Amino acid sequence: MSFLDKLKALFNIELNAPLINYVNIRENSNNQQNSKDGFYHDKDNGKVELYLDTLPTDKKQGVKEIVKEYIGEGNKLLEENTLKLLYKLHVYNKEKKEDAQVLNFFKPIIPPNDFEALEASLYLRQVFSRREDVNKLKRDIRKRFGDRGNNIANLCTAGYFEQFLMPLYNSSKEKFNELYEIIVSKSVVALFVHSLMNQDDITREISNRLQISSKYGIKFIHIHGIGTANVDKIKECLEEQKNFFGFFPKEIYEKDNIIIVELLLK
Amino acid sequence: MEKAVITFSNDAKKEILDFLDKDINREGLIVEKQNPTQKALTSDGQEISIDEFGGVKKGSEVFIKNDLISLMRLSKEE
Repeated sequence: MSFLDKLKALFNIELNAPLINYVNIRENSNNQQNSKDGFYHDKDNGKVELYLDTLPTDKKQGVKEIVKEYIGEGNKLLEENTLKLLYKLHVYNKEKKEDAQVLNFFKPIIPPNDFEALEASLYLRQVFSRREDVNKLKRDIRKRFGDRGNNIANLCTAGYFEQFLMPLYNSSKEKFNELYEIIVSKSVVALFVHSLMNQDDITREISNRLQISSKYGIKFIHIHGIGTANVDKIKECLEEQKNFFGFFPKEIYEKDNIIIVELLLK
Repeated sequence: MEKAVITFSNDAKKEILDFLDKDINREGLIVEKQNPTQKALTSDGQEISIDEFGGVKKGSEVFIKNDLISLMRLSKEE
C-alpha cells in the first residue's frame, strides 16, 4: 500500500477520489470551517491540507508514519516555500542560456566559491529583472560568502561580469588576474549606495576607491543607486559635495528609479 | 500512477522535526532527541538551525537548508 493510499485510508478519502497531487502539513488551522477533522480535501485542485492542531492523536501518529515512509521511499520532504524555490531553480537551470555562457566563461578562471556566488547572483539578477523581491536571496548570498559574495551579487546584477570582466580577460589575462581580486573583494570599480549610507559615507567610499584605482590604473568609478531614496541621495551628494565631485568628468544615467554615475578618473 | 508531493508549512517545522525524532537546542540548532549533543547535519557537514530548516532527504538523516546556495546545489543534483 502506497503512502498515498495509507493517507486516504487514514482520512477516509475514497480510493477512487480525484487525484491527489499535493499534501501540505500545517500546524495551525486558523479555525478554518473545513478543518474540524484535522484535514481539508480540495478535490478540485487535487490538494489535501493537514492541520496538526486539530488532528486527533491517533491520526497524528498515522501522519508521522506516512511522513517517515514518504522519506524512506527516497522522496524529499520540503517546507512549502523551499519547494517553490527549488522548482524555480529547476526551471531556471533548464532555460538559462546567456547565463550559462557567463558561467562557462568564468568557471575555469575564478575561485570555486566566487563561481558559486556568481551562479546564485545570476539567478538573483533574473528575479530582480522581473521586479520580484530579492531581499532574502541577497541575504543568503551574503550569509554564505560575506562581503565578497555581496560584492559579486552587486557587480553581477549591474552587468560588470559580462561588460567589464569578460572583455578584460579577453584583452589581457595578466591584467584580469591583477585586477580581479581587488574588484571583487573591494568592489573598487563600483559603489552601490544603500539605504544606510549618508553623503559622508558615499564620499568616503569613493575616496577609498580612488586611492586603489590610481594604483591599478583603473580609469573610472561608477556610483549605483536603486530606488527613489537612493537616487535622490546620490544626486544631492553630487550637488552638495561639488568641491569633491566637481573635479571629475562625469556621465549620469537615470531611468526608472535607477541611477548610475560614471566618474572618469584622470 | 498517482504520485503526490508532501510538504510542510513553516509553522509545522517543530512538529515535523518531532516526527523525525529531532529536537531544537538552546541555540536553535536541530539535534537528536535521544542524544541532544548530536547535531543534525547537512550533506556538506554543516549544522542547521530551525530557521534554516528547509527539509530532509535520505531517511531523515540529511537535512536541507532553505537558502539559495543550498537549493542551487540541490537543484543540480536532480
